[in-house]
Amino acid sequence: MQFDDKVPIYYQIKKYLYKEIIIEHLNPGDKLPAVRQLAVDLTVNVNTIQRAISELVEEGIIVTQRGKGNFVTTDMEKLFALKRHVVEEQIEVMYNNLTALQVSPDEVLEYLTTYIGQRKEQDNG
Amino acid sequence: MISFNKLTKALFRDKVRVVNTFVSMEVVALLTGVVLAFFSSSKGSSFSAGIFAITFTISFFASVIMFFMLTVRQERVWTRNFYRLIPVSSSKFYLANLGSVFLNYLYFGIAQVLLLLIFNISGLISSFKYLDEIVKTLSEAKFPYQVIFSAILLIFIMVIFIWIFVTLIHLIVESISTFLPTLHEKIYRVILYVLVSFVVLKIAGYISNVSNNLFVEFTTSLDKADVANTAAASMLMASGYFTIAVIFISFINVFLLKKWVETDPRSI
Amino acid sequence: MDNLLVIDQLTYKRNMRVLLSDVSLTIPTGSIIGLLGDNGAGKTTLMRLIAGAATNYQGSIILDGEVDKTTIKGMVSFSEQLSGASNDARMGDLAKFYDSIYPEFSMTNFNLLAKNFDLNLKQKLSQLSKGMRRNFVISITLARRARLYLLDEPFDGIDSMKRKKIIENILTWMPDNASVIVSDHHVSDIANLLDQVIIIKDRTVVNQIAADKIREEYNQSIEEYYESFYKEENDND
Repeated sequence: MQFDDKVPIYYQIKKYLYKEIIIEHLNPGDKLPAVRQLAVDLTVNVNTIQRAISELVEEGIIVTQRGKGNFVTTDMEKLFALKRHVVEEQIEVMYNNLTALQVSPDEVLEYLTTYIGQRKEQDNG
Repeated sequence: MISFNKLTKALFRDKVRVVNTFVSMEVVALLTGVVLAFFSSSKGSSFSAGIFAITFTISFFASVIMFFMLTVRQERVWTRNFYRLIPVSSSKFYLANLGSVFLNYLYFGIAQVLLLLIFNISGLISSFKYLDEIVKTLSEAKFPYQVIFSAILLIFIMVIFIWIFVTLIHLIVESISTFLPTLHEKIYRVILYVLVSFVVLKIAGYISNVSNNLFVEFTTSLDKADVANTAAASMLMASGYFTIAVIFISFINVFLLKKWVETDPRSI
Repeated sequence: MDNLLVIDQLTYKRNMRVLLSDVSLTIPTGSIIGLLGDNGAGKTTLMRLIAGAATNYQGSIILDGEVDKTTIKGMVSFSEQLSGASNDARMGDLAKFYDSIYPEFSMTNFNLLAKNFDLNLKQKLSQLSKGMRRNFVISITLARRARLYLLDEPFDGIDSMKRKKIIENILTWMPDNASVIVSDHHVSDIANLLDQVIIIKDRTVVNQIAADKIREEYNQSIEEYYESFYKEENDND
């Protein structure tokens, strides 16, 4: 995995785990790899992984079972909220960029619909 | 902390490679010598005497070279990370290294005896017919066992003495040179080695002079005893004298090692 | 986190030169610390002093409450510990030497590491390329279950694939209660690995800071941050 040198590593690992959960590489109730294994796989420090995971535990996305390890929560509401949160974050970035170009909200929607239509055709063709 | 025996054994093994390589080279030299002796021996002259002369000469020079090689190996140990980072006290480390060098030389010595016996086997067999006579002469002439024993003891202690003496000079030079600039270090060191050797020998000479007077008084009091006993006694005295020197110098060596001698920062 | 290593007002002179001047630092248990600085700034010297290779310094070095040099030597695994080993020795012989001398050396771990690095243990030190020698040194160093690992420029002369392998092995074999100090001048190799960086300049420690703090508060990569310390000097010249 490539990291951005200027962004805290633990934060990038959180994002990475969010993605793994959203795209269902990690399903609800799945066990996470051991902390040291994750550290080796991502070539980062064990403490950094630990920090990312403990923040996910605080957010309720990951549940720690003593002596057994870390598991993705089975609370589907939490997981839906996570997905919505991550998607909204992306949209927020795009929306901010476009409004900075003085594109009106209605136009944004119009551009987006047109773009999606084009992409669908492209990807199918 | 690792035991003294284990450390000595490990340091022995570390040096024994050199001894083994060297002895195998020596065997080649001995074989060549024997072949040369075979071709050059004219009729009538004793072949076995020729072999004895050649093998003994080779073994003698090999022993001198081995002594130097082991001395170099011993001295390297004091300033290299590989050895100095071993978690043991300085005194244990010092004794184990000295012990490992001594044992290696002993091992080399035993190899020499065996090699000389093997290469001179024909001469030995031919002298068996005189065996009765030899035994008879030995028992009649009162074989001077005490002289042989004290001579061997003296040789052993002298050998150890030379090693620790070299160490003393080396460690003093190492300690002093940490206070000198690194510029022209090689020149400094050569001068230091000469200077330190000179001063230490002066001091040793003074001490030995003083004790020599006592020594002479003691031996003259033995005048009336027979020659063999006097010889043995004076060699024993000398051994004791050197033993004290060895112990005294070892204390200085351990002190220098512990307080002043660091590993060489540039050694790779 | 407890402090594993506490260094207080360390000053070291040798050959009429000051090699370290008034160094103080603390290193928490279970952390990986980057020791950054130019060549000759004092990185290797600092490691030598911690490892116990040099003794004539002022100030104190305390490792897990211990001050005795012999005890500390048994707790520190320094990547320079093979310097001065006989070149005619085979790697296997040297591993056996370690096995017989260091109680905390694990032959099993060493063999796994050696296999991972494709080392042929029958080869003599004199036959090794620079890179292979580095891999052997790392294998020996990590096969000791120490409290503190001192890795002096472990990636020098190693290509990037092998660098990753070394990093993976550090992460795999570092015990939970141990810390690692790694010096490097290619900061980017190890940037993701570090909890903290210690910046050493002109023979003293000029800063010690958490790696994520550099990214979070200064919005800089470790490399940029580290270079800013050396740039100031160049600007003043």
